Amino acid sequence: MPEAPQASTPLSHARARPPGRDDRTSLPVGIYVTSVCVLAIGLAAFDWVQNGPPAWNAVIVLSILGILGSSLRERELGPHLGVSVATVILAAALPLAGPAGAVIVGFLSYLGSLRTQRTRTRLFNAGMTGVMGGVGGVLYLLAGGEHPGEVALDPLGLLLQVALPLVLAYVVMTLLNTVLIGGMSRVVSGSRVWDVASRTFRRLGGGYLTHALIAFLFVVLWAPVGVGTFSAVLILGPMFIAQWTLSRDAVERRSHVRTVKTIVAALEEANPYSVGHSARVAELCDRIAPRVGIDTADSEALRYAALLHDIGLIAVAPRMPRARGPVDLDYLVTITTHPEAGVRMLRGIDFLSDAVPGILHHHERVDGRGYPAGLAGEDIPLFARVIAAADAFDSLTTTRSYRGALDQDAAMEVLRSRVGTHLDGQVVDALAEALSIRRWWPTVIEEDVRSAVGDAHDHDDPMVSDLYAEWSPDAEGVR
Amino acid sequence: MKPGRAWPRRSQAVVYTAAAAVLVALVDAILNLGEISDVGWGIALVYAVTIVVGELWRVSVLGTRDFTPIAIAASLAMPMTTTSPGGLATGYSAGFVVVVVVVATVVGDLVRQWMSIGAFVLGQVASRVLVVALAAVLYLVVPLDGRPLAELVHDWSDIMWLTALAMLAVALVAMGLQLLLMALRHSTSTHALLWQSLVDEVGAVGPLALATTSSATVIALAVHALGPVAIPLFLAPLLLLQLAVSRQSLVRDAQRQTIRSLSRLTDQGGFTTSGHGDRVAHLSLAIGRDLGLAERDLVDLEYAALLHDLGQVSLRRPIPGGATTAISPLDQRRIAHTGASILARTAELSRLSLVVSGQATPYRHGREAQDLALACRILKVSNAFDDLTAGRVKRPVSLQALERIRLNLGYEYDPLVVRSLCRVLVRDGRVTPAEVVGLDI
Repeated sequence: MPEAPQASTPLSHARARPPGRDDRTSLPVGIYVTSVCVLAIGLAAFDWVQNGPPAWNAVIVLSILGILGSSLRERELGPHLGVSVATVILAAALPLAGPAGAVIVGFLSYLGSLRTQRTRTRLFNAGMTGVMGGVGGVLYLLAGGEHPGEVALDPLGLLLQVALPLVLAYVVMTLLNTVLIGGMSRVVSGSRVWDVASRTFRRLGGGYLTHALIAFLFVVLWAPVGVGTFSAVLILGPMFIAQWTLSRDAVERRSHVRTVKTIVAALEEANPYSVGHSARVAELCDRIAPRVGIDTADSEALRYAALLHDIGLIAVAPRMPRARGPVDLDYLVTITTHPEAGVRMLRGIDFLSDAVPGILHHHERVDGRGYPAGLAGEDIPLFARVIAAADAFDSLTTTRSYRGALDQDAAMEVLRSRVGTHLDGQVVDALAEALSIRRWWPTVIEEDVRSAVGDAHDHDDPMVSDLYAEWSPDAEGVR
Repeated sequence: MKPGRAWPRRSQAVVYTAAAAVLVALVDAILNLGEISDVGWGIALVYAVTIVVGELWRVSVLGTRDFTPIAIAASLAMPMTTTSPGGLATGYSAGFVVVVVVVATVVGDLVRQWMSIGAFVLGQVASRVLVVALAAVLYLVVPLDGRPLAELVHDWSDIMWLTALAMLAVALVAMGLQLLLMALRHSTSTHALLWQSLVDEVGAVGPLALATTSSATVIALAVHALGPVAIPLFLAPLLLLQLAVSRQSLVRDAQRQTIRSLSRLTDQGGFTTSGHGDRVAHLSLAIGRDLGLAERDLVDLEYAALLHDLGQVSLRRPIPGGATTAISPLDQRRIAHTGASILARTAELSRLSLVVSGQATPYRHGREAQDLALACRILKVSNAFDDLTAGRVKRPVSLQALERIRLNLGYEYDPLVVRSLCRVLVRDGRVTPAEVVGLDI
């Protein structure tokens, strides 16, 4: 079940909050959270008066399980398939504990969650889950749902009088969930309720119904089969293990990105002029990506491509002639092999297969006079065009042995003059737009480091690209 | 070597026992065929189809193990399914269950082979037979208090959790046998110690195996209330878990591939001969298994071996042939430390940095300081061996390399590890036992 995130991060990330807004919004947020909680309590009281007290045995067991479930963060298992024990418990509470019981189970599950949360987030999640339980419980009864422990049901009866009402109630509960989240984000960050609600709902997708299915299994085992509390071990055990496995998976995924980043950084240290270059290019690419239509899933591949775009230099470095005087043919011939060397190194890494074209072609030019393939215009992969612009920009804004670091405006001026020959206009515009929101500070290398290292060429300098284009004799002939 | 030959015999014993079990089961099934009710046939069909589908969709745990949670859950649930809705008995005999499971498993495996997504492995079918036979005999045949468990549970209809617990216990025992047989197969194919293989097996597939037994139990219970529909329905939680596990093994694969490509860095730069890292890793693994290292340590050893020359990227010019054994101890240590310091900065690989930095420390120094890990000593020996042979496998080359290593035995190299290296080389046929005796290590 989607919950309100930590309230300090606005739900709608596209809109930046002006500072100090937090204080002014605290009153509406307080009123909203309080009214959600009051609504939950009202629903419970109403049902209690109507139908008598809930089944306490089920309420207590389910609340304890719910607290355990809500203490684990919900995990996504591929697109539209979440794993959340707490959601299963809430759905199972509808037939087992009745509407009032479901309010209590939902409220206590999130109130007692062992995760550290701000009080207002905790209260909101508890109130929201309570309201969902109450509304779901009433709907379950309205749709003809039975308490399976009280009436003996045959297989068909179980499907029609437990499974069907449960799924109906669950769908409405999910809709209510997304609308309440939308409301919370309206009072916290001023985004539109419907936008957030529909975005949350789309993210969940049809696979979310698995929770209703598993809740049904839990109910069948609990009452008609008669296993009772022990069924929690049998049905929820695999769920808990799945959620735990996914939480480890998330940790490993993050630590893997960090490892690649760290190793690239360590390898760069051989040359003081290249320290941090890959990480900076990756950051620039991150900023450009949304403005040229690269979505979140692809932007991870772009980040890897940007981090690893110069990895081939390691293979080339031992053969590199020592830098003396201006860039000569020897240097050009050697340096042009680095994109292919990089791709050779990364061959066989499945998760990088989307990143490879970006790495291979990051020194192509839109006029077709770049290397290694001499591609032109739209034939160059988008990733490669993005990396090329970011690469040139970072080179210009970093100190070189033969010139100082340019500032942002001067570097952009140079990039703009190269649109149509070297760089892609759309990407350069996107970079300019990204930089207008947050400024880029040049990377200055201290004089003592420079004198210690001596002369060094920079293959990313647009000047080297021009030299190659001039020299590249077969660019016209081949095409 | 004698113990080497004992291993295939063990796995043959498994196959023969399984074949005998199938024969007995066939007789038992034919004798009791009349007792199976119409509902029983229907449910058996659903079980068989589930097992076939389960065989097709395997999950690889930690990238190396094949496990079929769905097929195993269905196979274990079937013998414990004694009643259907309305209280009708299914009438299964232990033999019938075994025959159905075997036929379904074989069909599933043959379809797998036909779709070319996997090979037909007789050993796997044999272990399925033994596991199901154990569960069926425990639940349907072995008399407890005069009657088998299947009849005993009828008296417990008002304390269902006790029934569930009994079923869970039967499933757990059978799953224990499954893990034991998996460990046996693993230790046969890799020459690892059986006990160590079992511990590894439990550590790797333990959670999945637990979930599989609990699914088997709930399916058997739920068929009573819902009929055959319960079989696919109650596999849902296990399916979710299977998805989660395969997603996790994707990340593990990514890690593995990252390490492999890092190990090629030095090849690409011309610092080392091509394939050096792979060969050292392979040899280190064989020695590590021979010495009974746990799987976690083996993975670390393999990764450290793959990355042991990472420090060479800091060199201005490559060492001739990339053989670190040929350069001065001081340089060896500098390379090792550079590599280690790169690894030490990452959270994921910092464990390896100790092994990588320790590879340049002579055995004797480590022994005086009492702190040289076994992994370092193994890496040192296999690295030296590969530097000396440079990938050639002909017999005189291997023997000459061993003779060179023998000269520094006890000072540079750990005799325990070198003896293990000899065993590995004898097994691969690269030196003869007589030659090893001649070396007197």
